[in-house]
Formats: sequence, structure tokens, C-alpha cells
Amino acid sequence: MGPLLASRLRALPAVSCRPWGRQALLGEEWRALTAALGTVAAPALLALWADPAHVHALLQERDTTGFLVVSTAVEEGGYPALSPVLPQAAVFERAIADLWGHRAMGGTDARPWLDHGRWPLIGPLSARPAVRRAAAAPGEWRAAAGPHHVLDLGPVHGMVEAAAQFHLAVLGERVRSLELRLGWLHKGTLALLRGKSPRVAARFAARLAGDGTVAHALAFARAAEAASGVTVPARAAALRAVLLELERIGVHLEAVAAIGEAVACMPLPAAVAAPREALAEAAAVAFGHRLLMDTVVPGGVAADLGPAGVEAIAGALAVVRRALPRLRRLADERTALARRLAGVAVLPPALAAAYAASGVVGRASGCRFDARRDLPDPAYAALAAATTPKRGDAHGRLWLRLAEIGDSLALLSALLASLPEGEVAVPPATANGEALGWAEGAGGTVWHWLRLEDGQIAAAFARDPAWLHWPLLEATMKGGLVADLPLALASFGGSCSGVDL
Amino acid sequence: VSTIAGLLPGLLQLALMLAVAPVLAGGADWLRARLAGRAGPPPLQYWRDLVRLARKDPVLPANASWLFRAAPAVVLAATIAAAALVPAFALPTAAAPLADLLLLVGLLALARAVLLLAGLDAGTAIGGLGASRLAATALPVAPALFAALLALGLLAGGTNLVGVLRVLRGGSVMVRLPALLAVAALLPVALAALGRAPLADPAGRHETGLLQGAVAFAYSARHLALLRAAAALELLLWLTVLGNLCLPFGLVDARPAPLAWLLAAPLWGLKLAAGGAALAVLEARTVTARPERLAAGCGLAVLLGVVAVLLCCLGQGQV
Repeated sequence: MGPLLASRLRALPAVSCRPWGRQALLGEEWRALTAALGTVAAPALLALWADPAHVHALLQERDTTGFLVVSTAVEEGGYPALSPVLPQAAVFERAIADLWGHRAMGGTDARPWLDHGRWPLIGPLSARPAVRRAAAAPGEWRAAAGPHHVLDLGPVHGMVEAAAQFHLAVLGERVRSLELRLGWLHKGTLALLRGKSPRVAARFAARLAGDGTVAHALAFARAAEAASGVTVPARAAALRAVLLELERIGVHLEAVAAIGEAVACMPLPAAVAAPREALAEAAAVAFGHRLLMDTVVPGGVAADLGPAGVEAIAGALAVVRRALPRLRRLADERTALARRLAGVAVLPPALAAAYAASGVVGRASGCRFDARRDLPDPAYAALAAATTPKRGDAHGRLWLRLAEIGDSLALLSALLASLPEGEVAVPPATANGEALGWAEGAGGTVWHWLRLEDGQIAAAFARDPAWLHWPLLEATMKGGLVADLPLALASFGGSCSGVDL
Repeated sequence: VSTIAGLLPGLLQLALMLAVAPVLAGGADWLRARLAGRAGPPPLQYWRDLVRLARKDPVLPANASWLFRAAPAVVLAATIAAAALVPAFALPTAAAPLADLLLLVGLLALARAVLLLAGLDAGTAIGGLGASRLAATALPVAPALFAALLALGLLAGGTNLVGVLRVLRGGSVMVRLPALLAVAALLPVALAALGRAPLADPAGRHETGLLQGAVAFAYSARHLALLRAAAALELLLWLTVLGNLCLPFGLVDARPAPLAWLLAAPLWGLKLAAGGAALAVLEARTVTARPERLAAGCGLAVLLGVVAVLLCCLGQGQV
């Protein structure tokens, strides 16, 4: 059923959208696709977004690396919804309604998502945004079944934490259901990208999510390069891989510290602090920014890596390598920490596969896809098969993070030892075109879609991996303990800002 | 003059307790951080924070009533009243006839009850969660508490703390063993009352993992200073009581004896330091337990308490 559907879709006439083309479906074809997507082997939905006249979907075939982009024209302000068969489409549909004003006809959830009723414009990305005259209500919460009381947390948590609202239906210490409301960090990124050249817009793409600044900048740059037909030099491609792996180690270390703090396991954050700081300092020496912001630009990388930078990174990697055995010992099977984490926020493999979870969240639950290995990238030719996951619970994810730090250390050593010589950037081309770009960030696969007109961005979308991970977090918290919420949040490590566009 | 002389040991001890309590809490924080491999706040930081907070004007939840505003003062007052009853190093105080373990437990329970009501009063989600947790932790520890009190009462023929300590001071192994078991039974009671590891992380970063802290979450400025002072004093109280029950040495049992006090007070300080260090080690070595672990810990504590009671009965049967 799945491959059949994919090949049938591929046979349809395609619009140019690098690298896979985009199939423009008629209304009834989209409806047929909607019905077929509910089956087990059908392609998984990775993203659903829009432009003023169309709705686009990015699909991934199961167990293969085949990708499909399909779209349908918006008719009378609406399009047939995917959410009745694919629950993960609901948040995308709500975002589309907020940003572009297209209604998902027959959708399961018509409540606003990003727009809490306070934006000055209604549908700011639509062809004709309407002016909002009075603030609207932000929408009701989902009704929870059975006896419960409600615990509303956030968006301000009284500590330095991401702005997210948690609506918990609780019975005693047990969570009956959790619903998240994000959108408190709305930055208008998509509107800011429009009408700018990719070179200028890259700064906004890099500021979408702090835990994936390199990943977002890289995915954006790849989309821009593919759309304008630019090929980056070999040295730039290798340096981008270096940046991506440095970011991965840093984010994983911070996640490990956060997990330790969530269960008051004091030695874990303490053991992480020194290697994290060493990495940041090396990044400042090598690339001029502690958190690697704005280092990846369309056409290549912002600055070349000199011998001093290579030395600084090698020094920081040695610090991380020395700290890793202690971290592994602290997180070992037999420790109290492992027993505490086991069985918390369990993500079943079937659910992870249905949502095409990526990154540590997906890989710990058996989703093997890794964009570094499974999509063409010369810099990652040496990447071996990913570390085998243990279990899809908080301990399995912690263990996988530590394993990925080890993998990244090996990758970085290989990359730095054989950096190709040459240019690090090529000048951008003024072109028309449409393309997808991707990057395997620490949190999962980041996707960017761009349409360039005369070298300016006409339409764009960014899919942070957290789009699909937040609904999964809601699902895994069901039946869990209220006290485990911080642990589940730290274990998933999703970005609020990345979803808030 | 004789009245003042009778009041002097009690007042001196209370003043010392009030001064030392924040240092003890700060010291435990410092050691905990050191054991975890961090520099940690200096031990006096807890005192400094109290002074800093006391100077600030509080921000109140929108729906807070007079109860919410009065609660911190009541909590601290009840804790101070409890502290006034507890002999730290000098047994004969003016309050000695009142130093009943039941009254002591009652005063601390009063402080908890007021804190619980304040958590409900503010109408904040986290306050309600804290209140429900305070109630939920008070229940499973009660049997262990009563078993331990019964054992101590049987030992001394009454639940007056001074009386119990006097019996323990001169007692044999047959007296000390049940007392040690009773202290062991009181440990989960104390940890639950204090909201410390492994039940909750007093320095927790997320509101859903807190116990008492969840109620204190809605408090700020001088209200918070009062609550934190009460928390530090309660920690000192438990360590003093448990320490003296464990090691009933260095307790002065004479009318005003300044020289003996000079020797006994540092010994009391040593007991506190040992207790605080043990707590810091526990907190640095453990991870926050799941809530259901409290019931298991309390079950064991009840068992120890019952064994202590049986040993007492056995001992008295032989006498």
C-alpha cells in the first residue's frame, strides 16, 4: 500500500522543487491521499505548511529514504484536512490557520495555536491580512475525561525556563492528560524571511531555536543553495559538519545536565559543566561565537577555520573525551539514577514511527532515520550505523545522548584530520526556484522550505523537530506522575521557540 | 533573680538556635554542592539571603487573603515555640515541664497545617499541588511517628523530652537500643517534614518536583524570608532532637553553670555539623525518589518503631 501510493504520487506531474519535485494534487487527489495516509505502511507526515495559495505536505516513505512533497490549491479559503487520519497534522493545521488563514476542512481541531488572539493582524502571511480590532480569546483547552482536577502551569515558571503553558488534568499525583500551549515566543520569523535575500534572511533562520542554531542555519542555507543552483565548496561542507557535530555535543551535554537537575542527581550537572564550557570557549576561538550562531551562511560558512581554531577544538574535544567515562558511570544501568529514569516518559516504537520522530527521541524508540547518513552528504560518508537504542524511556534517551557524544567525537576527529583545502564560500546567485533543505540537529531533523523569486525569498517554512515531539510528549505523560514532568521535558529536550516561528 | 536565672538557659539556647539555624542550612547547601563537585554558596549565604529578602516588599498572588499574608509569621512563630521547648545542651530550662514530645510534634504540625492552608488560599496551581503533597506526606509518616513516640514514652515513663534524655543519659544498652531504633523510625518522618532528599529537592528548579517549596513558590520578599528562616530552624530542631536522642552526651543537667555550657555548646554544634553533613551526603548521593517510595520507607520505619516498642516492653518486663 505504502510504496504503491508513493509511486502513484510520483507518476503525477511535478513542479520544480529540489531535490525531489513537488506534486501538485487536485482536490480529489488530495482527498484520496488523505484517506490512504491513515494506513500503517503509508508515508509518514513530516510537515504541513502553506503559502498564500497552496498547502504543502512533506511525506517520508516508511523504512526507506524516499521523500515526497505534495501540495494542493486552497479553494474557498480551505483545504481537506489531514488530521482525521493523522493526529500529528492537527498542530500544523492550526498553525496554517493562524499564519495563512486557510481552514482545514473536516479537521479535528479548529482552535488557534500560535495566535493567542493578540496579534495585530489576522492571518499575517495570507494574501490579504485582516486587521484585528479586538483581542480574541486564546481558545479553550481540550476537555479531559473522567474525574480530575486541573493544574495550569506557565507560561511563566518563576525560573529561567522556556515559555510554555502546561495544562494538566491530574488525579492525585497521576497525570490523566497533558496539553501544551506554545506560541509565547512568536517572532514572526516567516514574515521576516519574506522579501529578503537568503544571505540577509539567514540571520533570522539561525535565531529560530537556540538548541539548533547551526541546524536551522544549515537547513536554511541548503534550501537556499538548492533553490538557486549553487554548490558549496568541499571545505565548506566539511566545516558545516564540524559545526553541526560541535553543536550536537554541546546540546547533548546540556540535556544531560538538565536531566540530572530534574531528579536532583547533583554529580551529573557538575560533571557536564567543565566540558560544556570548554566547547563554548573553543567555539569562540575557532568560529567567533560561543554558541556558533551565524557561522553557517548560504553559499558556505562565514569564516574559515585556522590552525589555532583546529587546535582549540581538539583541546575541547579532549576535555569532553575525558569527562565521558565519568558521565557513563553516573548513568550506568546499576545506578540509582538509572532506576529512577527507567520507565519514565516511555515512547512506544509504534507511536514514534507513526509520528516519524527523529533525533534522540526517535532513535531511542526505534526510528532509525538519520539525515546525516541516509541523505546524501559527502562530509558524513564515514558515519557508521547509529548506536543501537536500548529502550524508549528517559534512561534509554540519556544513554543514547552519551553514545551520540562519543560518535560525534570520533566523527569530529576524522573530519578535522582531513579537512579539504579550498574556498569556504561561493557568492550567491540571483535565481528563481524552490527547494527543501535539511540538517540533522541534536534534537532531530530540521527541514526548511524556500521559494526564491529573483533571488528574494517569496515564501518559506521551517520545521523544527519539536513540531512532532511536543504531541508525543503529551502522549507519553498520560498516566505518568506530575513530579516526572520536568524529567520528561528534559529528556525530550524539545525547543519551544522552534515551534513558535 | 531566681526566675531570671531559671529563664537564662532556655533563652540562651533559643538565641543560639536562631543564630545557628541559617548557618546550618547554608552549611548543608555548601557541603552538598562541594560533594557534587561545585564550588557551592558560602555557608553564610543562607543568612545573607534572609537579610536580603527581609528588606524587600512582597508581591502577592491576586487572590491571596489575610491568611496567606499571616501564614509565614505563624509558621515561624510555631517553629520558634517548638524550638523554645527543645533542650539543645542544657536540660533544666524554665520550659522543661512543657517540653513534651507530643506538644513539640503538635507545634510543628500546626506550622504545616497553616502552610497547607496558605497553599490552598492563594488559589495558584502550584500552591494547591504543594498543599495536597503536604497532606499526602503527613499521612504515611504518622504511624512511624506514633510508634517512635510510644517507644520513647515507654522508655522514660512519659513523653517529656527532658525526661527521656535524662533516662537515656544514664541508661544502659537495653535503654539506648530502643532509642536508636526509635530515631531510625523518625528519620523518614523528619525528611518528609523537612521536604528534603530523597523525597524532594529543596533546591529544585522545577515547580512540579517540590514539596514544601511548592507552597513557598508563591511567596516572595520578607514573607519568603520568614518561611526560609522557619525551614532552617525546623532542620536544626530535628537534628538537635535526633542527635541528642542518638548521642545523649554533653547535656548539662545543673542549674546555671556557665563553664559547663561553654563545653556543652560546642559539642551540640558538633552533633549538628555531623547531622547536617549526613544530610548533605544523602542529598548529594541520591536522586529524587518517586512519591510512592515514601510509603515503602515509612513501612520500614513503622517496623523499626514497633521493634523498639517491643524491646521496651521486654526490658521493662525484666526489670
